[in-house]
Amino acid sequence: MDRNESGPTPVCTREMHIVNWQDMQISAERARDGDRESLAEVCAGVFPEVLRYARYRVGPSDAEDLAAEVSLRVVRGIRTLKGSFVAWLYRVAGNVVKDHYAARSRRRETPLHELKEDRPGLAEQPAERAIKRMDIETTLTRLSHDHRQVVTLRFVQGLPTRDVAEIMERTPGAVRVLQFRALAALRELLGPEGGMA
Amino acid sequence: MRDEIERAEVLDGCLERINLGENPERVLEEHPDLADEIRPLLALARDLGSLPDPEPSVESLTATFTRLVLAETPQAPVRKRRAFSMRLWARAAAVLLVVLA
Repeated sequence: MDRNESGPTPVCTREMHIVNWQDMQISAERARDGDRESLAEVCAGVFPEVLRYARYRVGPSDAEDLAAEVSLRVVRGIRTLKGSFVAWLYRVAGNVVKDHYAARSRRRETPLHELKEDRPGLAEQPAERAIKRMDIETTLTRLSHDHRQVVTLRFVQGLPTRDVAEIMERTPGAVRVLQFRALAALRELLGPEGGMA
Repeated sequence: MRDEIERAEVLDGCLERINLGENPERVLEEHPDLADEIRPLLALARDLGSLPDPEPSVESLTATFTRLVLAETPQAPVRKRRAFSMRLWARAAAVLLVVLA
């Protein structure tokens, strides 16, 4: 972080963006009650979020397939929705990620460290910044499951602590400790020059 | 030396306040004993938030929405209902494509 910067710099820039989860909750409840148009709205609305989550949980090569699988499970399971839609959605997504890793483990594939290839969207970035992003993205794959989950939900997706606590079925205090440990672990893996500051 | 729970609470409090628009260095000034430890974590959190959004391919979107239409279509569909469903999903797919274009 630049210590001389004059203006405030948002940390979780995604906290203020794209999906209005309150509106989405209403649409999801309508979809649960059988409103097909609301179901289409929910799927179209959350797909970019789910794709981003999948991208930073499993890497670019499998992200689209996983996002599609999550969408499918949303359609099939929306009638079982109870309580918070955002928590329900990310629990579904988390289960899809777990299934993905379990299947990969059964196939004995090597871990995903091929992230420097096939990376649409980064070609237009200035080279140095793009390389640092690759470093962060590659290093994310080296975190433990829980650390990667909390980092992705809290900072990549920009969800508030209370939602992450509900998704991960922990107390908010436990999430705060976990995110502290996860950021410290990521920082350690990246080394002193890590990050894009 | 503060314990881990306390440091984690301080980090979360800093994140919260910076997201509300406060200057990171001003926030850190209130925790001089932890500033050196927390500053790089705040920078990392910011970097994670600015990772680029993936760009789904048209082929992938088409495949996804086709699967969703099939999933949503009843096993023995009434012809009229199926046509309605297809139209609805096609519209959702079109909206999504426009949003992501």
